[in-house]
Amino acid sequence: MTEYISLGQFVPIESFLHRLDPRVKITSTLMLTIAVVSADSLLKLALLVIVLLVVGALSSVKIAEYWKGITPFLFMILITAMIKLFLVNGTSLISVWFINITVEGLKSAILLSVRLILIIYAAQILLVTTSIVSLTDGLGILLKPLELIRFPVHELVMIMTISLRFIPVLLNESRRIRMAQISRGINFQEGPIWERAKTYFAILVPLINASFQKANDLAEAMEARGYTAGRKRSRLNELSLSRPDYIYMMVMTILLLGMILNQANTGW
Amino acid sequence: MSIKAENLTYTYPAPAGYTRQAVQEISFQIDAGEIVGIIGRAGAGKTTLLKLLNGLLKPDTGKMIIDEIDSSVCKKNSQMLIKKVGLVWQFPEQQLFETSVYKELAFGLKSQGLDSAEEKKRIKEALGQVGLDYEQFHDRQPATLSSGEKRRLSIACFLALKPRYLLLDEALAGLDASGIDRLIELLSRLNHQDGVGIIITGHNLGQLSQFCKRVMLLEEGKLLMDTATADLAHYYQPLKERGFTLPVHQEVLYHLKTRGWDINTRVNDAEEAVQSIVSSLNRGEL
Repeated sequence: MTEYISLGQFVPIESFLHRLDPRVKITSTLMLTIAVVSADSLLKLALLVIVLLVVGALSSVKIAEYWKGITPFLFMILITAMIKLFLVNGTSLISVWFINITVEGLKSAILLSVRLILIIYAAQILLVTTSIVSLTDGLGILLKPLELIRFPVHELVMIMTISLRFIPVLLNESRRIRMAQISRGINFQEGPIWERAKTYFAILVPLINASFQKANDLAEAMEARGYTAGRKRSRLNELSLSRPDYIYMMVMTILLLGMILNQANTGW
Repeated sequence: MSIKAENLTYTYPAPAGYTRQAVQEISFQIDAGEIVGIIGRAGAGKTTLLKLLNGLLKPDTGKMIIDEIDSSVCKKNSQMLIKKVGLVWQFPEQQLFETSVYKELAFGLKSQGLDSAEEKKRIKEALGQVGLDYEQFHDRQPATLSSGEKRRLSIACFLALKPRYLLLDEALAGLDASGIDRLIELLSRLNHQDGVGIIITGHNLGQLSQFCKRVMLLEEGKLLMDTATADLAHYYQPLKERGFTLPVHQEVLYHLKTRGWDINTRVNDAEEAVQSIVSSLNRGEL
């Protein structure tokens, strides 16, 4: 399961969230993300942490598994937080040599880190509980109004589907190429950093070659099966909302609207 | 000098709890200079076994002793093992990436700490071994080579490391008939002239039996058969049940025997098969 999560891939198990309509999950994830981004106090973020932990529990996937999926982003989050920590002006908290950490900087760094972790967590819950087919079906329907202004919704959704579908394929391909190059005597572990960086061309070049080859093969296979870009297409399975979908959506809307209204009234 | 495997087991840590035991308690010994073919259906564990032999994977249990070195105590991706046992992956030409044949061959040698004269000598030798002329090819872009030439260049990349054993994962796949013939000739020459031990996986017994003296059959990670190529006819039924057909000359002898002929089915090639039929006819066994 860990490998699925670390890739942000769908985990095929049974849970309340798995059974929900993809449109509901996409909309609620979007609402949660907006709430996380707009939350400007630790208290509000703490409330959102609780909400997201409950949502995560509804997916029947352990929080520790999700955490393994968040860890690859920790370095990036740390760098972003450090920038905030050192560059925000305000009341000085610690001052050593040219380093000046302010109370506002510390608060800002914590808020930013928690926000980023929560956004990644929310996105992971969506991806782990929704298959790519359902996800793109849901997105296609949600974006349908854009067709009125001649926006190529279907093409966009198809591109997204294919891109998502190929992430694990390319990841496997890169692992395969890496092992093949190791068995050729190429050493990725030792040597000066510049030399090691150069060795990664041994993975990159064959990987890009393979990607173009796969893209070409896929395009030919799709055309051979009658696919034509821009043509109106029907769906095999029509999506329909059920009672749990309405209940979940209602709870999320009340909760998040409540937070926004509370913020407007009290400013906390 | 040999490769000894004792009760090798390897399980892939697959996602969602579906762990798969790819190799299950396999034991064998391959002597230096042998040519061994490994057959099996897709997913039988052939590639995993090669990765274990090359040190890319470490066995969960069991021992692997390569020329008196216990590989289970070597670290993963051990350079010592990689130099000793070269693993040529399926479609190795897809791993070419440099801008010239020379640079392609030199890249793997960089970690060997060789001076430029020795490096050039190794590259010349390796190209010569695979039948590519150094003067004609060293400046060429790998992308401009034919598919057969690319595959030979890929094999040369391994030969430049001077391995004692060469493992080839379905190396005959995707080549035309003349490409297969040339590769078989090359592997036989490497074995006879340079004493390189060859272990090759594949699906076509007819092709493998042309140059392998011994064949192993893997199924679901287990070693089901380990026999001299000449004795393959004894395994007609189990092989047929698994979708493998005997080399034509051995299949003919097998069917003659099942029709009551007292005939020797232990033959290496078509010539020996004809001799076996002739001697049977001379004995009046028709």
